[in-house]
Amino acid sequence: MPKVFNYTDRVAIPKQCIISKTLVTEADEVYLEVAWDFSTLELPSDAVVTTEVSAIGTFRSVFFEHGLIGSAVLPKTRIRVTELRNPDLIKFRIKVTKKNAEGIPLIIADIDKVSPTLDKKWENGSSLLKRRKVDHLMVPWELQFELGVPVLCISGQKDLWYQLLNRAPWFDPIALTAIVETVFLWSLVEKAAPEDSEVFEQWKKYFISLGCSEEFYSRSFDSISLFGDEVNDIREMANLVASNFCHRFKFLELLSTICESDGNR
Amino acid sequence: MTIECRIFNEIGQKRYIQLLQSKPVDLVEQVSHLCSLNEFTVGLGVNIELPPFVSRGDLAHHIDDWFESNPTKISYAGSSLFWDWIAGSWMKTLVMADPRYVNIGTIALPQAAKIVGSEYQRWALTEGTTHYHRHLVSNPYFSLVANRDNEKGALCLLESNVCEPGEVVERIAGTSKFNSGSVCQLATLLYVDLSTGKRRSKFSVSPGNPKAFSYYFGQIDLTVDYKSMTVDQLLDLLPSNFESRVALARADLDTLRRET
Repeated sequence: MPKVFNYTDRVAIPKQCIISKTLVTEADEVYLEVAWDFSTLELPSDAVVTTEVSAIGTFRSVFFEHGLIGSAVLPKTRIRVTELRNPDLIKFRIKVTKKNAEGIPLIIADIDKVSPTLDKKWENGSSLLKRRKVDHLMVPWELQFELGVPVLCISGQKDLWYQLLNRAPWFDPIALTAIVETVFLWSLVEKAAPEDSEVFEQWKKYFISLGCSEEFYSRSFDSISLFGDEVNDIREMANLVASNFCHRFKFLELLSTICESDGNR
Repeated sequence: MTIECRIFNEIGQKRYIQLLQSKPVDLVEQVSHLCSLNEFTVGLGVNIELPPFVSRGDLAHHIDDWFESNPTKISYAGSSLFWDWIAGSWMKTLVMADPRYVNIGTIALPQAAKIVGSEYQRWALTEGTTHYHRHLVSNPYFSLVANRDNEKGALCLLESNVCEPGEVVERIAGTSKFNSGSVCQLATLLYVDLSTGKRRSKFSVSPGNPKAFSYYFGQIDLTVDYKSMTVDQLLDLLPSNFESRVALARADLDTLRRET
């Protein structure tokens, strides 16, 4: 394990001092909204604060100088990050610096790799997917389509409903990936009834955010397509959507960590 | 070569990456064919010229000029579907222009494995990869854009060959903290001879080579906010193992200032 020296009495900024989230406007502009309260950290009022934003898989990063720390409380401030590829994967670092006698800006406090709360547009679909406890269900869980709306039914037997939702960190990586792929196939071939079009539209937007093009989505598929010439295209796209879903929520890493920690017990 | 500018659709991009990974002997022809198929691409309604380039800087300017002439297409600069199609469509021309292959002529293209190299990310800008800076076509453009206010300061990222970017690009472009601003300018002064615009001889030899550069700034990253420092301050900050390179850098910096 590499040794980290602290030459500047650098203060580690606690996460709870910061509130941050990403915002996506109607015009698809993306902002990082950040606010903080560093008043308990006793930082000098003439220190300077900078936010450095980057995203996985991007060349560019965004540097935003907030100026003097002053009262150490920052009201909500928006930093435009639209130009970053994968703005849904941004992480940021906040640095508080003060120049020494030679004019070198030393970092006196910082926090790194902060992930903001994601805009609703990029949530993992849990708000779209209804979950329901079904007492008599004889399999652990099952995706059902009730009145044109996908519902994740979880068995109420043996306390599974509670256990799976609260005590099984592997549940989302394993169950949701397959479910997203199934819902994608369903949404491609089903025609939404007028009363369900809002749910349908939300899923459509969600799949487009996961890499399916509008052009592909607007092609007219039906249940026969799943067995016809177009089956390979559809399967490939479903696989791509599921892969991007997995990648977005780092399910592979998460599962690997879970397996590793289980193995160490 | 002027052709209609297109982007891959998602399936086209997937096929493209599969081709790069499988490296068939006729890779270049297969890639060219894939890029031309309506089934796997979407036309953007404008043309693009894909001439042969050897220098990363020339290639970067060419793409930059295209975006300037087609301002409504700038959003595609953030799309891997766009960059992968451009890279695939340009592959044959760029490879044939590369000095390492030029003697082979038009009869036999170099082996696919050599073109792709050990990492297919040189030609494919895949999502989520940590090797995005290795993309041979997009990286020169991004390097130019990130250093637009001081293009000369980004020479270390732009002077080398398109198909063989070299170690300086790998070290400097690969870290977002180094690839723009005064840190990038510092790397240029240390490793590029401004009078010739080419890398200094023995630039990769220890001490003070690009590897040491990235190690040093990696070490002080928690202590010093070097991104906010001027290039003169950074030259003062470098440790003694960079001494001989700092002297050359200062001389070039003085000449540059006298000229401007």
